[in-house]
Amino acid sequence: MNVHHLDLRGAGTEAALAAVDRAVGPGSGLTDSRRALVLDDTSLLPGRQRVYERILTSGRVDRVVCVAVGGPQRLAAGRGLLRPQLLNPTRGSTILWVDDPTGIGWAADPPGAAVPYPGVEPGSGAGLALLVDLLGQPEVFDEVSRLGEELPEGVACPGLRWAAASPGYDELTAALARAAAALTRPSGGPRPGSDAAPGGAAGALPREPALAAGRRRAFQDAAADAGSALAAAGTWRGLFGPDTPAVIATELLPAAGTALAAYRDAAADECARLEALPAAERAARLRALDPGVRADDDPRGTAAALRERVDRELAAGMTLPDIGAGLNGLANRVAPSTGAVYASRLRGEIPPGMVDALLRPEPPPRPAPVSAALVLAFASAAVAALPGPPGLLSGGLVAVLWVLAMGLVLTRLGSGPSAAPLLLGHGGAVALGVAAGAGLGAAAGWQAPEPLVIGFALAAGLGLAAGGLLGYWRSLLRRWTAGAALRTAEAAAEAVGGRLLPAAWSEWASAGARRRTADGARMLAGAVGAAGGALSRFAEELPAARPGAGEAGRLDPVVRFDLARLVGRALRPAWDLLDGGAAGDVHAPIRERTAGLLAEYERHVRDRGLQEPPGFVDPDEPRPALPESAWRLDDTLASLWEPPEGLMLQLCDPASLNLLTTSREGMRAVGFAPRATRSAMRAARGAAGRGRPAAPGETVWTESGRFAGRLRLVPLRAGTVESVWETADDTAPPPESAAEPGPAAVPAAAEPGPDRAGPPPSAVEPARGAEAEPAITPAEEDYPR
Amino acid sequence: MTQPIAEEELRYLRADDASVEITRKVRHVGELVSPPASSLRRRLVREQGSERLLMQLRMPEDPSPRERMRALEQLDGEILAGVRLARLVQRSGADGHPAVLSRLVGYGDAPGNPFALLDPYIGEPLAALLDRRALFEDERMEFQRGLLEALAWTAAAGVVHRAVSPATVRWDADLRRVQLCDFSRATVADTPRTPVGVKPWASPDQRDGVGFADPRDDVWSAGLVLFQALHGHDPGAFTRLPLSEHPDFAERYQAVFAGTAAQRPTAATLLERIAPRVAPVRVTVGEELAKDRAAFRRLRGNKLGEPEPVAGARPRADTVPPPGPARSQGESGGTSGPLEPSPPGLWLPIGVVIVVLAAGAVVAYLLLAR
Repeated sequence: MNVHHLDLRGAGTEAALAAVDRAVGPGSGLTDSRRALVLDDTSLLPGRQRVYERILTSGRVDRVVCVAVGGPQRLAAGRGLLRPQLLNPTRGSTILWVDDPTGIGWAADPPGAAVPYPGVEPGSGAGLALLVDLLGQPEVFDEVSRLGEELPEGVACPGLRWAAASPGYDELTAALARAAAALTRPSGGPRPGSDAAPGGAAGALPREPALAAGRRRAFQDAAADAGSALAAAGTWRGLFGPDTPAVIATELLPAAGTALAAYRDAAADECARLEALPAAERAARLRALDPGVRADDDPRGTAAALRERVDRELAAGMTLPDIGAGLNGLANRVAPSTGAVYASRLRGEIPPGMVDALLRPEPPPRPAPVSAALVLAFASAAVAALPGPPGLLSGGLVAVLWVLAMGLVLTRLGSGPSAAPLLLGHGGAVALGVAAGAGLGAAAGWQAPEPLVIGFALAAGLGLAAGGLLGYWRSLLRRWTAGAALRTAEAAAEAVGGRLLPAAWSEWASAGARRRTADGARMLAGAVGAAGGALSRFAEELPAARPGAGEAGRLDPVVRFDLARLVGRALRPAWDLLDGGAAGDVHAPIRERTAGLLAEYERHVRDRGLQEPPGFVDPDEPRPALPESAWRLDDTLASLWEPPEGLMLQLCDPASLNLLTTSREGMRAVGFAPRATRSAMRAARGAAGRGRPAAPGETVWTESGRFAGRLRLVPLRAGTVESVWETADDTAPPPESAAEPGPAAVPAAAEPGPDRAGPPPSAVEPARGAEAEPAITPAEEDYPR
Repeated sequence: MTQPIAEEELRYLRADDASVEITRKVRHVGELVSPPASSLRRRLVREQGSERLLMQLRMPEDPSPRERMRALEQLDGEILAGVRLARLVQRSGADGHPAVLSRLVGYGDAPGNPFALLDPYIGEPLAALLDRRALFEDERMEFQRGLLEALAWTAAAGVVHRAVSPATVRWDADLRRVQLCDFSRATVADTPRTPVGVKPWASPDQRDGVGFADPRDDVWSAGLVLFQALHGHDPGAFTRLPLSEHPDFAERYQAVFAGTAAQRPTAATLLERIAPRVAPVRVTVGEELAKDRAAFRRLRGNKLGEPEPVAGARPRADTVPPPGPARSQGESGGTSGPLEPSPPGLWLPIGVVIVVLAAGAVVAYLLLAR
């Protein structure tokens, strides 16, 4: 706020004091403004001593411009203005007397007759409204206040000439309609919204939960047993150890499968049980299982995160349907998954087929009836039988041992229907080997070899048989895939215990925050939709713009900026609910609030233009500037360069014109124009204005406002302004109290400035030699005009 | 000037017992807005004496013949479904009419002025709610359970709603309760289908009007309603639902959008899926209705030349027990498999071979040693 605005018209003294207290009294917020624009009635003004004293001693106001509205009052010598003694230029106070709020067309020098001012409806109060609007701009206020010190008695009657220095209403309407339509149309493109779940609903997984941990360990133990047995099966231990492949297939792997199924079911049960628990119990249970489990987040954190998201997307120019869709998507993503989903994921990680592969594993491969083993059998027996006839015994021994070993192999693998033919085949092979070896030995003449030779042949046959048998056993088990199924199951259990259950844990540990975030996002999506609906209706109801109005779209950035902030402000009921951690149906209140703000905005742009930010926009936030091309400059220039004593809208009734001076010398004028038009004005003056300033020297450039023009201050004739002394109880003060006011009450009055001649001789101080007269209060007499 | 309150004497039969005729005076409270697709007029009346509020569905004023025909069909649907449901509820021993279904109080069958009297609907149409917001977390499970429960009741009564959509499913946010309303398109299960409904809400076979009406026709529609209610997507905006984006829904409502009714789960099955640990509402077909249905099937079979169904040969959808936990039979099949204990005769061939080998070796040695 740059200018305090106080409208005391019609208010009694107490009501006026209360209004002053509310605005600048003790406890009211300090602002960077020390200016006060006060609207008052001329008839009430004489009794306002305490009121203005309160304003000037508030410590919050340095300068006062009082706009006194109403006809003149009867003075001792004719008609004029009665004012509280405090309201004088030495106290930084200026009075602008508005005899007629609408105003008349009047030229001051040479004085002309009152004529209707073009474009001003009689009785509309347009002059006063414009004056108040101008004085609300600090640059104009300061200049008027400064000039007030140069005015006799600090009192003047204002006159105005102005031109709108902003886009026309047609162009504004067109821009509004376009911006509203753009904001409520889904883009259909990718949405840049953040996918991160607010409210801390997303985060790193916690450590592995203890859910069903016992069952998981049981499976891991069973899998370890089966795995080590499988690893040993391909060695001599597989042939002679306690865990035969048959035992692995019929006991160890099914035991692992049973444990895996039990683990999966326990995990699913735990998920379902946790999900079914009320939130508080679930949190307690999760904390009991893992003390490190996080508590739910603060609702305000969720609200702040959602608000930041929506504000960011509005600022980025996203359309409302896109924002709503993004919020719904966010809700769907952060809503905690149900137990059914985790049960499904569990089944996906550990499908029934995986369990079945352990419960009923592939049997160990059986030796084929015809295989390389037959060659080994033949060769082993033949080598052992080489020493001729004595070799028959050593070869026979190897043959018998081979058949026994094959019996052992079949037993370890688990017998099958092919055992007898297989054994017969191997028996035949070793028999042939013996015969062949012995025959070969006999043919070589080894009828009676040395025992050493026989022993050597026997050892060679046995060694060949043993090595071949072990190799054959290994090659058999290498083809057994039960180990792969076990490894797959172990990986799945690891995935469930290491990822899936922690994920479920994490989701449910933060289920409250997730649900709150999801509900908040859904509520906001509905709220944004409600705002969009109100915007659409608003755009439909706007009067159709003239063809071609604002086709360039030069106002669109500003209007879109304002509408985005308007939506942000309209969502306040939703923020209030979210801050409380609740979600509800805010559609109706937000729709109404949006419609109200839109009506306010429409009024604002109609009355004050786009240059000044509307009330719902943070004045400290950078706002797109209106392009210079958006300003209408011709009227602006004309109104600035015309002399101040010419025809203006004078806020004075024709009957009171004789109270005003008409000399050019006593008159003061201030030009005003929006700063944004400065360079455009200079350019528009073109060759004619080369080397000349953009505007007359007394022009003040305003940061806001949409009008350019001149405000002239016409002083009142001498003797038409009188000061009134007034005590706290509205009676004439004793001379000493008026002469020596308490320092706390009127500190400045105790030390009269150089312009002051000292305390007034009476309650009514006649200005410029007028005779003193008892104070006239409004209650005592009505002043017919 | 206040409008005079219209009064009327209504004679109607009770929905749960058509042998009881009731005559009551009612005061007209106000006209209700009928849905665009409805040819019936809706009026709110207050029954004098009990002072309860009722909704009267009646014929339009001065209808055209075509409009009259349509209105009569819709009134028939309301009465047929309402009577079946009322009698089913009465015989099931349920504690009052299920709140998840609109309740037919009675009906007037005078040819000139037929009407139906219902309890006023609760809440608001889901379509109106979804225009404002999506369902909140606390409402979602109740909504799903309520809608499926309603469909389980209609299935048990042998009624196919045929118009389940956000316009006929209502939600009361204060009571946290769903209500399936507007049975004007309802028909009896197992009757030949006629083309009813439009995409996307009506199932393909219902739209095409082929085969026989099945309660699982409504499961398709309910699936779409649930999808929209839970995820905020308008099913009409998709040529293919983005189920992959919603694995939770896809898992729970697996096969709901199967091409034929026979491939879809029943509402009772879905209830088991979404709340497996909550005792489901077990609704069964009343004996009387079951007899009627059996007679109807026989009649239909005779007409169409179909063989009479054999008990158990074609179980009805609503009598199929819900499936048990999804565990394969293989898991519970124990360890019996291709692997069996070694037969005791393994060592016999070994012994024979060894004896033969040993004997052969000894004999050969002796012969050669000589």
